[in-house]
Amino acid sequence: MFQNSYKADNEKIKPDDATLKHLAYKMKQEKREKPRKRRIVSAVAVAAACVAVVFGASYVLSNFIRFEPGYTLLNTEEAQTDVTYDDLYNLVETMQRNRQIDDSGNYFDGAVPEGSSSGAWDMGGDMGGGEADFSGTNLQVEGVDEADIIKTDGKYIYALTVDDLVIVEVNGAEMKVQSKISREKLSVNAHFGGEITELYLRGDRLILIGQKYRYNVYDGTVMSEATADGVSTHAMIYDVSDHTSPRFVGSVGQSGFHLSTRMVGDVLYVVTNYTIYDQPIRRDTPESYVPMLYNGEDGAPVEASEICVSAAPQGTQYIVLSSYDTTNPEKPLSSKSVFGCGSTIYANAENLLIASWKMQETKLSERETRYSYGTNLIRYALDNGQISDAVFGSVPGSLLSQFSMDEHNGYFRVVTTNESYTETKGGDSSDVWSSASNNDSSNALYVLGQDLKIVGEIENLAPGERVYSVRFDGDVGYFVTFRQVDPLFAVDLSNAAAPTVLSALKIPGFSEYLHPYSDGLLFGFGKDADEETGAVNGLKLSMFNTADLQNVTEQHKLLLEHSWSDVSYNHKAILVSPQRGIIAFPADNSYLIYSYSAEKGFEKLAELRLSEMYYNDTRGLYINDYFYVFSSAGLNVFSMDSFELLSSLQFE
Amino acid sequence: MGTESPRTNDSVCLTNEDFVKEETKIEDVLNRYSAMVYRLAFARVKNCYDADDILQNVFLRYMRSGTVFHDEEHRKAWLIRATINCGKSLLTSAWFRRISPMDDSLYTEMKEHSEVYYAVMELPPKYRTVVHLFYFEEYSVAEIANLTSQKEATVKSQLHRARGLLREKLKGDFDDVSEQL
Repeated sequence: MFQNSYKADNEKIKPDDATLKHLAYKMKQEKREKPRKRRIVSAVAVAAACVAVVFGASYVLSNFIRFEPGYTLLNTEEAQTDVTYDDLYNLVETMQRNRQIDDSGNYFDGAVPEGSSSGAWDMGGDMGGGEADFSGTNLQVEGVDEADIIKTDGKYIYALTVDDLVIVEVNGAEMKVQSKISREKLSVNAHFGGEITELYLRGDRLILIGQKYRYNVYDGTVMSEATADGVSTHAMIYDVSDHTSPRFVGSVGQSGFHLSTRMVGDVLYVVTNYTIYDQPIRRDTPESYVPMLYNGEDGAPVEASEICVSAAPQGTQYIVLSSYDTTNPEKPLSSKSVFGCGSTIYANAENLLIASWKMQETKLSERETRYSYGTNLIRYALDNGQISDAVFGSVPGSLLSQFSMDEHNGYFRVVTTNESYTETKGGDSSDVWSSASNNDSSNALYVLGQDLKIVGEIENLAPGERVYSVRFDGDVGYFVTFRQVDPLFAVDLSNAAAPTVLSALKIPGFSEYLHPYSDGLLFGFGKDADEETGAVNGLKLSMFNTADLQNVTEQHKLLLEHSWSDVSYNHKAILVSPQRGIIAFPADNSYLIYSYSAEKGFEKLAELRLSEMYYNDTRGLYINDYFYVFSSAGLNVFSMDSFELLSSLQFE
Repeated sequence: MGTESPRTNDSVCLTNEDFVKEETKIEDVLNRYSAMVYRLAFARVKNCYDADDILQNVFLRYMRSGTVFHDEEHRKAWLIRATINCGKSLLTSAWFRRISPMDDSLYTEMKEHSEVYYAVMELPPKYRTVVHLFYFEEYSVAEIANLTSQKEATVKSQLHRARGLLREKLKGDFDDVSEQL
């Protein structure tokens, strides 16, 4: 068995004794020489404790005095906007201690991945144009660009393979590599190490988004630079007017790992999650507990006036949102941060919504507590790179992903799954047990105003099931719930105060990604499942007829032999082009191109077996009458008439 | 208010007994975790020299960090994260190198071939990390996402691809590398 064998092999690998002895010796030296720095911090904490004891007197103590200058901020019902660095220091310090004492705090409430592809927005689709007719990244919102591993301007393809950035000149079936630069070289200030994840193209400028890891060895004295978990996200700008030789222009960045970016015009918005683990923090060094903003290598902490603390912070983490002018990248145009928050984000050109979950507890009796989930929402308005102050709201239930949120005509729409259960505790001091029962789940849709107050809702939909995909299309919302059978709900949203379910189509399996195809047609990409057991059988393409919303039907469907696709996690992996009548995507070890027509349904045009081991994502794009399939191994080009393979280019 | 002071990592070695206790703690930590750190590092850099380097760096950083660990799981997670971060900041970037010679050290580490281990070693660097954390250290996808500062979807997709590649290489006895997440 694989695992047994892998484990057995690993058992044989270990450091040798001499190394260990020497290491033990060095560690003991460290111990002896360690300065008493913490003693000073202790004195400060003790003084603060005096103050805290007065305020926190009603709080039950565990083993010893719990120091909580930050306590008042920990259990708020509402977000706090006027915070100082001192407040933040207290919060972080308190939460770090709580973690140490009784594990009552989290680091990280689990970032919901961006790119789970249950497409929710006005069809973006092709951003291509100009003289050449070429496809663009599969966008969620028209006019709001998203980064991807590949971009084209119709003449050149700019792409990231596992090792390099390649710029390829394409002219029909002819492809020629203009430049190839290793990712290592691109990571500015390579002494930090790092990785580029995706890019944007703006005329002659390439904007590379990447993460950097920095780890200063704590040299036993006061920390000179904040490290936290050492991750920061940067945008590196290159001038590519000479395609054979990209020229570095500048870089900007911020603390935290990359959650999401968007570009509107030349303004780049970057959202990161910055988590503070257990490293020591110092009150007089905000750099140690507050996110940093970087211009090249220079950094400064986000201003306290731009930071707010979410209601009942769930973890020592910040969401950092900044906007940058990529034509003049010096420092952010605007920057905001929220402490204590999760990390599901919805963004369009005007608004950014940040959602985080919260647990609600209701004591039913001495031993029974009912738990349920809610979602806190924070909204920022975006205006030409300026980010407004935050507005706060909340809804019951939790979100599937960013696609569960949408904005249209001044209203926000949110689909949630509301799960709750009862926990019963029992036993005595020698044997404590707890069990969960009465699990309930149902789904709901809420319509919110700009002030994030609920104006309309539908609750208790599909009890016992969970939402699998959501898509909003102007006045209509679609979502899919699943247990064994997938109802596709169509909801009328034209009246914000009274959303109504128009139809619920039940079919086996479920769609994970929904994409409006044309008037009256909705495309769904997902999985087929057994009606009885719910076991998943393989991938499925569906075309739903939505001409009559009260009677939505599955007009065509196709079950594939393939069982897994990147599209389930990343909407950018699929190309849906109603203009050209094609749908193309990777599945298992192939790249597949299908056509769709009302008469014949889905027909396979081509399948490219990627027999090379590919390590990175695969993408398809078209320029005029040629279809290019990109993978880390190279480019393959097909004729869009016959779909025969015309030529291949290997990146070696 | 009392003289009780908050717990710090900086224990005061007042007596000989305390001194010996401290030294034993160090031996303990090494006994428990040196192999774990070394194996994770080795899975990435594929040679004993860089793995040794990382091992030393991680434990010295551990001594200097000032963290109070509230349980072993916490200490373990800290060490794993430090190993991954440490590997990334190594100048030699053996951590990132996709192809590196399977040098003699690997042969001497293991008395006999195992095609499974070699197959894993041929995977791209990031996949080796998640495969090791999943199959050897037996962490869940969510935990691995946390340890490696990546999104869960990224980890899932790395695991899936790694399994696909392993299945192709290990036809026969070991193609039970399952889809279970």
